[in-house]
Amino acid sequence: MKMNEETFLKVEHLRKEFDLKVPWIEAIFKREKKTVKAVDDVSFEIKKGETLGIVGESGSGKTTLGRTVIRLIEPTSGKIIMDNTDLTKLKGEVLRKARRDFSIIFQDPMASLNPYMRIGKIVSHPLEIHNIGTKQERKEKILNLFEKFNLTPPEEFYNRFPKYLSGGQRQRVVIARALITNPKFIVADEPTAMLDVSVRSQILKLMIQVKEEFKLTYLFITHDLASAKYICDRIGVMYLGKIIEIAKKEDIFKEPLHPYTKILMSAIPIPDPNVKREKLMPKGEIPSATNIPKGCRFHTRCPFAKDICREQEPELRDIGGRLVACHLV
Amino acid sequence: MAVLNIKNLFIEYLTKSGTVKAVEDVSFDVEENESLGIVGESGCGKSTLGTAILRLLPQNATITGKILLNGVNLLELNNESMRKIRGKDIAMIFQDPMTSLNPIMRVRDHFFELFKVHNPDMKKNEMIKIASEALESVGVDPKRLDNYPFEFSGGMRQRVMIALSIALKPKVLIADEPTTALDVVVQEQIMQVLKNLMRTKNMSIILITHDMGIVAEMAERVAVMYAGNLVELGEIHELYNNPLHPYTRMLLESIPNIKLDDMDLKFIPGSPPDLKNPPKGCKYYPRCPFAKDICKEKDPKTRKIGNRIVKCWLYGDEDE
Repeated sequence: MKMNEETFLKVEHLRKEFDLKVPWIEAIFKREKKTVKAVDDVSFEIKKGETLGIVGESGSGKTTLGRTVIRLIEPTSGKIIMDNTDLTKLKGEVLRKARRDFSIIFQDPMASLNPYMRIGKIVSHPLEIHNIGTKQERKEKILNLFEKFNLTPPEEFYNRFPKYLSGGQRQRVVIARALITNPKFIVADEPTAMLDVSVRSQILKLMIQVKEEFKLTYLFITHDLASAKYICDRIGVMYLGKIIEIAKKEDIFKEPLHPYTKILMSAIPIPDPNVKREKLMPKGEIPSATNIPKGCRFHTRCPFAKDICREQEPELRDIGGRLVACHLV
Repeated sequence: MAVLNIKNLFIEYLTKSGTVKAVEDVSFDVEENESLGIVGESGCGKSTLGTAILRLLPQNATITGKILLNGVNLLELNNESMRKIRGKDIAMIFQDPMTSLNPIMRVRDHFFELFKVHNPDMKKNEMIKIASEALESVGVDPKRLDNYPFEFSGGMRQRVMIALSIALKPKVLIADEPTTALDVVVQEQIMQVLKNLMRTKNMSIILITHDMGIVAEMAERVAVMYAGNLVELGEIHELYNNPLHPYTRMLLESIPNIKLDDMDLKFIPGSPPDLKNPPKGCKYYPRCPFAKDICKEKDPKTRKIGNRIVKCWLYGDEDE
């Protein structure tokens, strides 16, 4: 396959299915495995230096997608091509070495820092694993980064334990740890979801700033469309394991095409009492991923569903430079 | 007419490492049929305030001041009389619907427990009837009374919580971050339920949240809290169009708004003060771009400007 010159990451037909535990008696008599299709045939590309946002409800598979892309979760099938190497083919030591180039920022800064490790140790850990620099060089690098991240005085933060840090400071430490090996690609899994309103913007700004400096490419996972608007170049909308619309940020905000995207957009509260927004509500709740509806997977909740939607699963089609999976567009 | 008057409320927590002044000199009224929003960052005392109204604070909290429900001071009632008020006159919806229902009780039994406290002689038929009506009003099928909480999704559980809290037709409903644990689409559904109840059930709602967007859509008046103080209170349109307190202004500017083309994200520098050892003078001055000398020395007085209440030295001098 041909890689576009500026394409950095190319994901092709990625699938991740989790086996469900079934009671043994059913396992004997039914002989069929139940699976959760968390990521169901997802393909996309990210250009170098671009930020692709993935948005969707809880249970849409966006976190699984993010983790599978950097092989924290083993994909069931599909290809992940980063810088001309297929990550799914890498094993053992080669994979471990490759991990220098990509990293992840987790959602909950309270849970992603080891409470028994000092901050300095937490951030230098990736350097130790990849054998980068001497002890002195590592420390210097970390102190410089802390200075840049406004974790001052850096020397003091270096020796502190996570419990003495506020949520915003912890998230800055998590970002510092993700950046310390100079990676090219970062998956940010709802990095601002657990933070306070005023701190949220601080972290977003920091992420935008370091992206320029470190020449990063982001996969930004979030359910908060308002944050996505500030940081993303393109946005993909996920529903039950599939990307149902992917387009430039401007297009998606100006004119969402897929009914589900329209619903997501209209559900965001607008902090202005003078604006009266039109409501578009989905029917019922998100179906279980063990039992994905036939046809278009959104037809059970879609306010515009027609007969064809119940029968045939729509493909992602190119509509004026954007991709939409809907029969009605 | 005001249903609830809060007068000069102070709440302190005694901890091993010192006294935390969680709420300081807060006064406001809640009118009949009104929805009042209380907003602020985490740790500003908004949840403490909501919980205090029902007197559900932990043992180490001390409350002084007055909480008047139709003229009766709740802080002077004995425990038994207070129990009769909870659920019947004032009810509360908590933040996390996953942990606020008892996992080993059927939904039906949650209702029965509540009814028995207020009326031990109530017949089973009647209890089922009231519970079914409550569930219907929030959009849950009454057949599900026999289900256990784990059989419900997050949004449905929050609906059950709301049904429980309105079953006895309280006059005041306190909703403490009712949608924070939920997704945008489910949040929208829950907000619709609350709006419907406000229209049909003749009650006042105190909506505690950090989301200025939700407040803009739900509340008629807003109170802004910072570090235990009520810094501004006003009618929703007036306050959003013309915020007086510098903190309110920064809070409004720092929210991403998908409707605006402006791509510059602002944020409030610094972090809220340690409430064990708050700064002298105005608590916001270390982060305030307009701070004057007097702000460092003296705590500002709470002033009334038109319909608005503001606690800031930018409005009026010391001697006024």
